[in-house]
Amino acid sequence: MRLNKKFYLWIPAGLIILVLVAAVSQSAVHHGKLKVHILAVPGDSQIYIDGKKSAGGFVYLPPGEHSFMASRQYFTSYKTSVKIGASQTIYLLPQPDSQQAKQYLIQNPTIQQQREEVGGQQFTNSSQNFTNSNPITTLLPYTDINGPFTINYGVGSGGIYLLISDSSPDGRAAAIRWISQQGYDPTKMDLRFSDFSNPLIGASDE
Amino acid sequence: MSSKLWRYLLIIFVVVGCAAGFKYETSKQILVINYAHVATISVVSSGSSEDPSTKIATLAKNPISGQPLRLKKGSYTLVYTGAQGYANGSQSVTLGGKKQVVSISPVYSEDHLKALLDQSSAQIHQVIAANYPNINLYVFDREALIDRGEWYIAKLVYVGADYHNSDDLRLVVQEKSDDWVATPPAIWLTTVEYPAVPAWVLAQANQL
Repeated sequence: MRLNKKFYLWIPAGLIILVLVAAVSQSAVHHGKLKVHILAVPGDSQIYIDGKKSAGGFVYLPPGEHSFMASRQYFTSYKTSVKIGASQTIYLLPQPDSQQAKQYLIQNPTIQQQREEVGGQQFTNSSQNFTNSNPITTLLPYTDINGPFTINYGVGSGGIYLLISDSSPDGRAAAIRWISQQGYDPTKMDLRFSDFSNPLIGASDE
Repeated sequence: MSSKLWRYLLIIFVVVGCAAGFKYETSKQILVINYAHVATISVVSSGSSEDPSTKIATLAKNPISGQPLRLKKGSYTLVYTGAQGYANGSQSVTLGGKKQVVSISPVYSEDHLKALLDQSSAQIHQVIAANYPNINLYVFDREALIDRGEWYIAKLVYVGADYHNSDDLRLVVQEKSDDWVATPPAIWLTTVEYPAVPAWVLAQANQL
């Protein structure tokens, strides 16, 4: 009888140890990796991460650049590369370019609705990422009639650039001061001056 | 007192002694300072470099570079005077869990850089004029050599007649294998436009 009591006491203790061992081994396996949510629509798409077949849902990846692909019969495969720096959701939307794929979506309106929702979310996320990467854009366009100058931004191949326009020589100097006053380092930005023609460079180009 | 009590006291004494010794050992860390062109160097407690009473270690004249110092973990400032022609300066270092190796390489002193500029400015101006024939539209308002004299920075002030393009320009010229190489002058020098020039050089040129 005593033996049985001890035995029953060991069961919860053993379970706790098992849970602890599982938690420790799980955290050791995922050490240094980031939790990434892979969401593909249609949900039965084949998912590939860095060229290797993978399950959807939550995966753990080391920080850095990773390639993602979702493919499905009749749909054009969706490929993207993302630099993973924090836990995030990756949306994969194979494109319904073929007639069969369009037919499939007509027959499955729920999946079409999911695609629209995910597309909207994808747009919101990319807008948010853009703002996070380029916070100065939230202050633009900015015009100072006394400068005078206007600063707006554009997107080039290497990222955003700041376009300083409607300016005089004093205005351009004021525009650079304004950027500094907002807490940004103009030396690290791509600055372009639309009203300025460099007398020295023009001469050397001739 | 019973021998049992003595035994307990001895055990407590040994344990406390070991703990104190361990704490003392783990409170220290090794700092190695490698340097060249330095006349004197002092390690002082951070934030109080002007108070001589806080000086905790001094490597006096003719110091040996690479000599390991065993110091309490914490923040320090290495205050150095440069050898002839080199600038004085200071550098912060924090000693934590790992041995720290710090390298000190002073830049040239202002006087030495000014003397070098006097020697080199004619040659640099020639290079600029060869690259930018319209340089006569500008005057050299401020110019300097920086670091070890391999970077020339200048602010050009427009003296021409075109008001709309009369902005001040900044310019960087680098000495490469005894030749001076000019980069295009601009209103503001940026790391995007001049990736080959260190950001701190661009920043100094922009501040002229």
